[in-house]
Amino acid sequence: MSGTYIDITEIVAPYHAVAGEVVGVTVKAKNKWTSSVHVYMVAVLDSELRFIDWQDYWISAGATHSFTGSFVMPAKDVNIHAYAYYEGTDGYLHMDDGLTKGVYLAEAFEGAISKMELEYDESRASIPAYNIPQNDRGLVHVWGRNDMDSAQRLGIWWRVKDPDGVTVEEYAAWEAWPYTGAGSAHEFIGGRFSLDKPGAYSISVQLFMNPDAQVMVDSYSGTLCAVVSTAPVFSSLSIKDYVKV
Amino acid sequence: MNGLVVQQVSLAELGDYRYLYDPATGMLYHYLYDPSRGVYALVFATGWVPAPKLVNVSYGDKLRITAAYVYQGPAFSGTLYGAIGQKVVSTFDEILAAQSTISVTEKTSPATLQATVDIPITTAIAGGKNYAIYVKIRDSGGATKIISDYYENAVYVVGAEPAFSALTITDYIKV
Repeated sequence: MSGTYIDITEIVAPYHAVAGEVVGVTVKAKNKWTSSVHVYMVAVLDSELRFIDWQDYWISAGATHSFTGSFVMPAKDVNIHAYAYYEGTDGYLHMDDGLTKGVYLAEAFEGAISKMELEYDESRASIPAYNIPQNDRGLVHVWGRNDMDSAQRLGIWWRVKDPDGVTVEEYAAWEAWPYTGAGSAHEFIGGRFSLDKPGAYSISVQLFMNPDAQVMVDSYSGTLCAVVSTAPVFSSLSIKDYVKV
Repeated sequence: MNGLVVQQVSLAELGDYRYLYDPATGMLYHYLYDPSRGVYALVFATGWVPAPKLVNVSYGDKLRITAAYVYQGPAFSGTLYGAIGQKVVSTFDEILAAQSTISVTEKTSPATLQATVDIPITTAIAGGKNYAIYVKIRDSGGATKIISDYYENAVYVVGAEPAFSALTITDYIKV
């Protein structure tokens, strides 16, 4: 559908949303007339809930304006209907264009990072780990737990940075079949990296489900470990003073 | 490394150390033989600098040297070693030396620290001359960890023998 003066060019909204999620919606309207048009916008959810409620704006010739609103996703698929009206010289509002977009109910994925460990020098410590000797090799283990009622394929991503903020390991993987059963956990093991700097190493971890439209179900961002120096380092030795005593 | 003069030092205390002296900069590079690799590895570098002051000392005195250094690492025990000596070619020929214990707690970030060492002035050193000083830090096994600059003309040792001069008759009268 295309209006005489106004085109609703796009409804920006996610294709999937879980029940209870606040869904943000942007409706873009373009004035294709040769002068400014006073536009009124209405967006309705399944003809029941008007969440963009007669917002008006003078749109310049050729310009596009975005009208925004939001709604709480119900426990069903829904359709967004957007309607653009213009104010005529007669002082009345005339509907000129409309557009519809569906938002489909997404499964609410639930899972958690249930355990994180740092392996070093044939030892293991829970993350965050402390007093890790400098120059050991580190290996991260992360367990993702499936809190759903059915088996799920779990995915992981993490990035490790050294005390200077330099990335020393980045890891991403989806588990192979068979996937993780309800209530069970899957262990992800990354690659080895060097812990060659004293100070705090940091890690950011994200646990995912549903690889076709991945959903992050848990995350951690913080200290991976504190590395302590094992080698004395002296510098700048100088004679500050010398006196007869 | 062009222009460096290689000198094999003979001081037993230095073991397998070798010096490389760069006459252009006055720097002295200390190398230690690494038998596992069959090469000499640079351990530290130092150089001769004019001392900021000249301190007069006599036999029986002590020279107290205060050193400052930056440290990062685990708890450390070692010694601050100080020496009085003289410049021989480009090396430091030690005559008097002493050491004091230093004990540092773990430092996870660079920390500026101080230590002192007192060197007794004995007759082992000849009087009437200027001498140089330096300090270094050694671990409990005696290995040098870092060395300071060599301060040239830092100490004057007053001679032990009575020194008379300019004897003149200032007056003579009947009494």
